[in-house]
Amino acid sequence: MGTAHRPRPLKLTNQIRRLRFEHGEMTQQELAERTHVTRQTIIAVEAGKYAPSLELAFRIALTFGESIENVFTAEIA
Amino acid sequence: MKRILGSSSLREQSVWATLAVTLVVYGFYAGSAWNGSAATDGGAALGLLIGSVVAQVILLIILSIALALLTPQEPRDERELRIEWRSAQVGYVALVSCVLLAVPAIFIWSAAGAAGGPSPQPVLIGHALFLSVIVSEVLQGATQIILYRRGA
Repeated sequence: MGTAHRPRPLKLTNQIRRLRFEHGEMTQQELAERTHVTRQTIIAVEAGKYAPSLELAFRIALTFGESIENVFTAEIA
Repeated sequence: MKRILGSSSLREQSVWATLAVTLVVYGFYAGSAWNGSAATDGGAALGLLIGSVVAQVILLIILSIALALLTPQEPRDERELRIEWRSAQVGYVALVSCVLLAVPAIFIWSAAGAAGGPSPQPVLIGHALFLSVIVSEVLQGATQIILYRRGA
């Protein structure tokens, strides 16, 4: 019987706010429409309160023309 | 309230409306069942039950139409689906817990009745089981609102 280790939590950060402003001050509503989610979901992702699915993370990155690692980063807390 | 309406999606507003209607309609139901003839009379209890469900459906239709007219339509997204799944789990656990508590209570009550004490009345058992459904519905709605307010 091996010892079960609880994984240490990941601290997720993102560059969405900076990228929105670098892309003509794109609003959260515009980003939401282009990624087919609600504005509240973009607010939650941007604030780090909600970890998006891989698909949504790719959609956000592609909207900015960036690779996913330039938008989302994770480190062990 | 204005701040919540302005910062919430159509789905979150629908949850608020459903929870409010449930509390009002079934608060009235509970008050009537507790004080009126519906506490012991099966016919009155059935009338109260049907009346409450019809009132709930009518109020929810009116509120849904009003919300759809006042709030822009948005696609249901992954975060909202996740919130629905997590709150449905809470509602399911609450429903099962209430029923698992109600069943042995009814058996114990029946045993007491067989021993000469007060016997369980079918109307009260019906009220208790219906209350289980309402409690789980309220907990599910409250969980949804907490998750929406927290972000996810």
